[in-house]
Amino acid sequence: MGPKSGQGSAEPPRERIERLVAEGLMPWAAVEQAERLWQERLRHGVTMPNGEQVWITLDDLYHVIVDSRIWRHPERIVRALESVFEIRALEHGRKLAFSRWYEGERERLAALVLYPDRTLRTMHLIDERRLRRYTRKVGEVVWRQ
Amino acid sequence: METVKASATWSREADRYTLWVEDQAGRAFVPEPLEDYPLAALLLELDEAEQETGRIAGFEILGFLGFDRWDALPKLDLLWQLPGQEPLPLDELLKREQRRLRQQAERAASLA
Repeated sequence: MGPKSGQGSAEPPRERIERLVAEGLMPWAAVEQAERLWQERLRHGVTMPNGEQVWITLDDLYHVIVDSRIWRHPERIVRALESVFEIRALEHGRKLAFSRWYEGERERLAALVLYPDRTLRTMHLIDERRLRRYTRKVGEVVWRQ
Repeated sequence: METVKASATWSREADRYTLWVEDQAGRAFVPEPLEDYPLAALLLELDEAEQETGRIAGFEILGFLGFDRWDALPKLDLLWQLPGQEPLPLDELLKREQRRLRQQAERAASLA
């Protein structure tokens, strides 16, 4: 099926999610589960360990859940925010946060981009190698647990 | 050079532009951030065991309208083809889309 060519070159994240569901690449139940989590938790803000509260818009939620590791477990968004251990400053007041938590024996790491209005704009599950790559050169550490 | 069918998402509020390789849509991926600009990353596909498959799943960039570090972009042996458009290398496609979205933002600002 693919995106429509007549609508400009970029879709809003919600439209893409609807298309992936229509194409059978993502279950609608997963989208509903993420929306439920947003209604119940995320839209009220999640407090990071440094005491700062962070929000995520629905638009950004639809962007973040495109990774199957997140649409299968949207609660990882909350875990990632609650498990931040380091925040670095980027240009224009943006911040890059890193989090670490455990799911059973398995360690999980995430990189999160926060904007000055305290919104989470993207989040990725990463590994130790990516963590080193992210932290090698960039950003002054503004908070560390 | 290989051509991949791609789609794109854009969020004005987040200033976030993302290219998605359609064949890898709905899969897991891990970011490979640019060395000096961690707000942009190549997205690399993962399999069910969370191992890299060697395929590219997309490219994400925040702060897109003001982005100018074109030399930091990865050199890929790949052309990206958006629906109804010609295949382009990553830098050319992003420059064209940045121009288009900047014009769109200017128009919206002049109407506000």
